[in-house]
Amino acid sequence: MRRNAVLLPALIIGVYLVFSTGPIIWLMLSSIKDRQDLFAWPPTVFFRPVWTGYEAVFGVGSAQNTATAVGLYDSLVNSVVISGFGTMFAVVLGTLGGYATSRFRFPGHGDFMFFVLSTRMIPPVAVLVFYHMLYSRLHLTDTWLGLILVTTFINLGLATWIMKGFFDGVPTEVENIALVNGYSRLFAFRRLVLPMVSGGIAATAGFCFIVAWNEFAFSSILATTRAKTLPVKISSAMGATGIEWTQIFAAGVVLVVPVVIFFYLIRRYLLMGMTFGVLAKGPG
Amino acid sequence: MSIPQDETARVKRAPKQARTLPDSWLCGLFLAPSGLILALMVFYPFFSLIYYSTLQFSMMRPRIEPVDVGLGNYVDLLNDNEIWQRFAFTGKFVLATVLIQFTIGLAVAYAFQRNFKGRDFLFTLALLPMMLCPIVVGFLWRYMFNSEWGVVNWLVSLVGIAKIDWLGRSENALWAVAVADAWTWTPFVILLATAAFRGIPKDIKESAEIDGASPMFTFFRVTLPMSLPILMIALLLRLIDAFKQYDLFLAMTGGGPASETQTAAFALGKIAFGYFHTGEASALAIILLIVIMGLSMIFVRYLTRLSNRV
Amino acid sequence: MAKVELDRLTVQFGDVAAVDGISLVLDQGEFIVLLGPSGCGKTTALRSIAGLQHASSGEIRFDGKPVTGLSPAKRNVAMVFQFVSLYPHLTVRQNVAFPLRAKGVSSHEIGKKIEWIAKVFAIGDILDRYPVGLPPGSRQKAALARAVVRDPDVLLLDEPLSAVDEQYREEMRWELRHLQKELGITTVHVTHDQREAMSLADRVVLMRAGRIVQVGPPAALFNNPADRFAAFFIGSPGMNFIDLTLAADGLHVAADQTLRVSAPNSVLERARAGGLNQIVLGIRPHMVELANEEGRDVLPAKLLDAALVGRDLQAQFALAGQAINVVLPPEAELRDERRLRLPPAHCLFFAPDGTRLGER
Repeated sequence: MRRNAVLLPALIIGVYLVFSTGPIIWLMLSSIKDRQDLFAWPPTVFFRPVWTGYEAVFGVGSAQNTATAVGLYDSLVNSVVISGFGTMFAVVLGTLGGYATSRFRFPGHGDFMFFVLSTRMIPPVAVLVFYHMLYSRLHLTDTWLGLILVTTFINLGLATWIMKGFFDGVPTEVENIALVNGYSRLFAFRRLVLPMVSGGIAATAGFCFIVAWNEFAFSSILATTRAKTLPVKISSAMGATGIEWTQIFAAGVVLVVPVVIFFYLIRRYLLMGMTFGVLAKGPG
Repeated sequence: MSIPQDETARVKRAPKQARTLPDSWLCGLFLAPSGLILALMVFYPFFSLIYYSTLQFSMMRPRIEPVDVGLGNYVDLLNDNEIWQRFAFTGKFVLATVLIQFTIGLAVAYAFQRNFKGRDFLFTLALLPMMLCPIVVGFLWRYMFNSEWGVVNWLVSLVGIAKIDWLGRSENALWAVAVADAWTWTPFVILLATAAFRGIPKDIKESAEIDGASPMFTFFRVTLPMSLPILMIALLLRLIDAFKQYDLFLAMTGGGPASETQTAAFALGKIAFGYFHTGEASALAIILLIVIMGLSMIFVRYLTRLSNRV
Repeated sequence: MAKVELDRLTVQFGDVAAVDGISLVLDQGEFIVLLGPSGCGKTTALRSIAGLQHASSGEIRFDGKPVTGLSPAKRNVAMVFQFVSLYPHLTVRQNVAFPLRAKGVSSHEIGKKIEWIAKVFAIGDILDRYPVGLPPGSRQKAALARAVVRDPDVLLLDEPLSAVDEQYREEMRWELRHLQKELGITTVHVTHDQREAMSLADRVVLMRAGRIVQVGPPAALFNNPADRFAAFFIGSPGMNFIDLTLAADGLHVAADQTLRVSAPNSVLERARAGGLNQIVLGIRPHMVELANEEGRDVLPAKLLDAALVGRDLQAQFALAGQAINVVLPPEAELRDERRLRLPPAHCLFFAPDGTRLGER
């Protein structure tokens, strides 16, 4: 491999990693700074760490008096359940819908896809109130079911579009061979096509989980006590006395850990066989 | 894409006689759950939106009778110069952030094409910014962009430039928030672009190599054009999200100074939860929706034309 | 056009040698076909010449200059692949122009070259079409045009006609050979189809398990195969093989010792010298004759099946427990019991391990 052909990519990746991980490192450092170090000029890298931020997040130590109806552990459970199921449903429904739209060119499939995409276009701010009204009427406020429903809904558009893209790339010969040999389409879908888009499923699950886990707007309106999710819980546990930087940063670090874990678990599927085969048409 | 050998071997065996559902049934079955959820979650709020947009109503004062003003809200909004400023600002912001995201994103995806040791680890590392909670990202960058003690100005001072007021002046704030937004979502572009680049048939890449095309030439003349369908989807999704951006502005500028850094979405939030003019807010939401939809339709049409060719 | 030399070329994948120390010299303008079953290393060898495959050891030279370490771009070779040879997002014209643009040739020059190549390959009418709408034959012609437009030293073809419909394949073979002769580019063509090899090649290189079995003009491989594998691989239907035992008084059919066959002395001597008491007789289906009387080299056989294939009558007989294929003129008379004559002039003899006995 010629040396100058390696230099450019290496440079690009190097610079980008500095740009992308730098602020994250800064986030972690800042989460343990005391007030003096936070606002020091020039910014400090070496200092004595202070844990008040994390104490506030976990409601321990100096922040023990912040009494709330729902403890941190409960909201963690809420978040895991809601994000987990919401992601799963979104991915499953998106996969089914994406496959149906990709294979069965039913009349109006283009409109359907556009409609599905349009669910992503409305700023949550605009419709928060109406959802609250709807949920009150359906008695879904503050329930797991209600929040899972919202989470699924939020991610459905993304999941369907991405999965359709992946399915578009799998040549129809794959199912045709099975059908000709007497297998059902369901069988062909389950055993032949699905494994080929496993990378796409992983990517979709990853994106959806991120959105679900970090979701704030709907969760803060629709689940204020029993089903309160982690981001909402943390923000409500923090004092209303100005901007408590270390608390916010600590919350950020704490919140990102499960997401990293999730991505670590699916890393193999993410990087393996991730081909948008729409461009990979081999024979035929 | 070649069919994996074991799958074909399995299929060649004597087929079982399974009771099969006709395709149309299966299609309906696959679509039904999504359809149900969408019906439930979209129609009521959406029609409420349209309904309320024709009223002069405030959620905070449900006792006061809503006044039917027909398209009055729309007329007022479209006549308001301020609203046009908001849209102009939004447009500039969307362009800025998408530009940054895609320039960096495509460059990094280009760099990740060849296999090298540790590529998988570095790739996962590159995805980190996307995983943070948006509001935290907003506060982080607000902290870093602070003109007095922010680390960005410290870096700037290293090069010999004086401290810049990032968030207090709308021209700078535009770029500051755009950088924060791009920082968060570039990994999305990288992920999709990498997938697209890897999907190009090996024969094509080898053809280009044999033809004597330099890596750059190949990238711009072969790789990118052939990845266009996927990249267009990514671009569409990013554009839509950029139009909706709210959390970052809330955390970083609060819309200030005055209302200079209010995007249309932010103004919407202000009207809805600041002044509680529910009717007006709904109308603005519809206008914003029409803008986004219009843009999307152009895109989708171009997309379908493209995919038919490749 | 360049003279291509392979000098003990070896390509290893882990423990397996896909190409095992092959040496070959191709003259300028020659049309060479690498022929062999799947996995014999022919494609690996081709890709090594292209520079797409790294050689584990050995050298490749173009006109005497070693190119072994060079990247494909530096070797001035052109390649046409089996399936996707054209850039799908470009028109045929843009495809053909691509390698020229990559080298920075002026638009004016490019225009002239395209005009010329369009005439040579008769693709003028599809220049502004996209590959997706074209039949495979036209696509490969366009791919060839693209390969040739930059005046490569060597043209490499990786089973380019496999994806083309059977009917057009014959026609394309003619065109390919004609064009190659006209342009005079040294060409290496890989295929597993021996008929294709026989009709296209100046010389055929038969490969098996990474090694060269035989090199020579098609006629040489047909009439004088180096071993049993070569004998069977070339020719369709394949050669018939009959097991024989060598006794003191000559050769007997192994399954029926009463039947006797004759062979040249050289063969018998070689066999006895090697201590063999079993050898194999090979004869092509076209060479087997129907006989009426008994006589030397006439053996009784029972008819199993017959079918009219093209202009020939293909029949299968059971002879001494083995199935023998025979190709006869269509008017031949077939009865259930026939006698078949195996003319000694057309019989080949092999040792049990496949090596050829007798003169070549």
